[in-house]
Amino acid sequence: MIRDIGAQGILNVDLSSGRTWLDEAPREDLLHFLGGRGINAKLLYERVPQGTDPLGPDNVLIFGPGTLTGTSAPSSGRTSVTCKGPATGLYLKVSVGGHLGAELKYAGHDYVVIHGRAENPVFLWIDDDSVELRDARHLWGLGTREADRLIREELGDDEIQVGLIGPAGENRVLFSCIIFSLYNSASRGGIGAVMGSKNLKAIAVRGTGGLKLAEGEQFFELALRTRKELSEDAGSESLYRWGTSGSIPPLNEMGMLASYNFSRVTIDNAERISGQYLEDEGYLTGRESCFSCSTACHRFVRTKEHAYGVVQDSGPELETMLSLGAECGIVDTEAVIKSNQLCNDYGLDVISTGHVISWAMECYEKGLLKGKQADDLDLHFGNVESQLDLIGRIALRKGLFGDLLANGTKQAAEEVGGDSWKWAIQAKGLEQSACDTRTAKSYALAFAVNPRGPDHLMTECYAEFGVTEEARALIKEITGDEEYADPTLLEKRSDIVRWHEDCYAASDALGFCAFTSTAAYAVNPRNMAKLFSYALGVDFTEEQLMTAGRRIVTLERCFNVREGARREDDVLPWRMMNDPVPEGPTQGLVTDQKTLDRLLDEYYQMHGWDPESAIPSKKTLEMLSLLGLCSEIVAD
Amino acid sequence: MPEITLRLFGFGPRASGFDTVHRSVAAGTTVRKLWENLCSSADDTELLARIDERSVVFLVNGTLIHQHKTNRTVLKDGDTVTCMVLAIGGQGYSQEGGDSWGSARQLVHQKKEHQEQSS
Repeated sequence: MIRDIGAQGILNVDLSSGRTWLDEAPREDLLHFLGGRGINAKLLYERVPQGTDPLGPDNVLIFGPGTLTGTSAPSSGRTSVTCKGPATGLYLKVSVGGHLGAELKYAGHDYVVIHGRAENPVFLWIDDDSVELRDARHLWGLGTREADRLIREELGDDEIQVGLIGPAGENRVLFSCIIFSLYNSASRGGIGAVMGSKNLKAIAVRGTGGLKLAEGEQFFELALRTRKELSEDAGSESLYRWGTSGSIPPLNEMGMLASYNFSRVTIDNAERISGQYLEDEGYLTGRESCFSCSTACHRFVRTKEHAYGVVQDSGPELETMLSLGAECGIVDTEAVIKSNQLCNDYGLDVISTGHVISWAMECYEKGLLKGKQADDLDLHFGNVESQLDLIGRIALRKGLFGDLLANGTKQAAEEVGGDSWKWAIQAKGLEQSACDTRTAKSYALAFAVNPRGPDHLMTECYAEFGVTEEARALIKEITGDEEYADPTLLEKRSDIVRWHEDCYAASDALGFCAFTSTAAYAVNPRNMAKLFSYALGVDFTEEQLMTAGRRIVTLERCFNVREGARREDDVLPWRMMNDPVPEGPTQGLVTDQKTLDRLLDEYYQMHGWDPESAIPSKKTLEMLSLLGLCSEIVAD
Repeated sequence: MPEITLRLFGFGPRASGFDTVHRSVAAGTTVRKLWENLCSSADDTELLARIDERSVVFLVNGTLIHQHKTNRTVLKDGDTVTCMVLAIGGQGYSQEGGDSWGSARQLVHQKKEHQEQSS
């Protein structure tokens, strides 16, 4: 069936009763929230009351492909997965690539909302308009690869798209993930644990329909032009060639490479965990793109020495190389490939897994973890065998130590005590991604105010480095002067963060990969607004698009405010605020409380949020047409 | 004359290798001048001549130097200058058409062929 792209059909599944039903998001919501991440946020706000247990049946798990997912718009295959997060107890949105989002669209569903909890493990099979819950007891306990294979075999169709959890999600590890299309991970915040708590092993989708665009010819023409611009982008070429881990050598040279649990910012032989090395040394075996992407940054690797067995898996990316490599003092290429494979198969977020292990290593080296408390493991930095062992223990919550680490660094540090909390590189309960927020101040602000915790996947402020002419032009457009393209400056950081927040939110809502909108700039707000307009047959401006992005960001803030989050929660990990960069060109830099306060004051003021509480004002909510939805958070 | 260390990453046939050389440069030499000299030299770095400067990241002692400031950044004795090809993001152009990596790859290929023929 070919259906209107603006239809916004919602498939609801109640796992407790087995009931399924359809409804629709109003057209007005689509124009207000753009779709994907935006509509997901609204559904979450409406359906998950304050105080809901993230791992209880009343939480919902929402799959929402972008509005343009399934079309020829370049790199538009992203899906937002949204729920109340178990790691933070706050809003959680995770964006994932692959092909499942487009398949859902072709099956006739723009959103899938999972309610309740099944009595026994099940998987959801969506075959166009047929929806079925199938027994998954035989799949429970299996790794993602084997379970994926068995589902395809059972359904007799190799073309289906599957999103599923591994044992880590089943065991409700607070940093478990959902693996899509075999090699794409919806990683952060323990989203896999929410799926596991619902006894939902997988969602499998087959769609044979299509999407009707209002002004197809103009849409295709612009999509093609934007695609061409992207393909001519030097950044896209290097992304294709090396993946994100191609940036490891420059980060190391600049003294911005997170290593040894962020206690250092360089590591010897860093190039061995770079994308360039994977290519040069013959580890790289292939590349693949997500749906509709012309960049194809996704890679496949195979070990050569097989020091840890023969491993074939998806290519370790920047964050993987750092968290499972440099952060743990490891530059052994094959060890990182193996660690990555284990995480993917168990269904673990590599960023948090690496941080949990590097935190344990620092605690061990400083004498806070020892002997039986650490299951008699040798946890010195660089110990590959212990790392590989720990990944399994965490995923299976094996033993006291595995169980302790499976709850993330925040809870683990509370148990271990002493100064160990200072070395937990987390805020709000989420482990920080590898950008050094002592040095890069826009990133520092963006990470502190990020509703899901400190990471780069809600707001990417890459332009503040001003590496390219285009990045500096963007900084000039935002601030009025390209001289502000300097990550160590404090001035204009809130302007830079706000622009990127709005753009990222819009990009997520439409289904675009952030690489194309906030790292390369071919998918800019102007192009996004036009593509949206052509798709829906409306006249939507760049300003309206950015306002919709702002509306999404503000609604996400409102969700957290309703849960009790306030200004004091907008912080960075202790080390980022108290331990200056120890070495290299950025030595001495730190984002202390005073610095962060200055950034936050400007940021809240710019947004029309109360500077004391960080609650959006009534006027702001009115301006964004959110007052009706979020009136309960406004102080009388 | 100032003595500098020059580190080139990703310009040779191996994408991941650092070529490190020590050089004397004339007093007052800027990063841009150094780059131009590299591009016009006839040794192994001839590859540089075909790579658009806008695709290159310049660091002096680990600090990023924006391209428009390379002609204002004067090298001092003991400086380490690192030149690397962009690893992510931004637009890059080749003056001769096509993408800069395409040109680089072509030259590497030509160079390899040349070496094979010579041997």
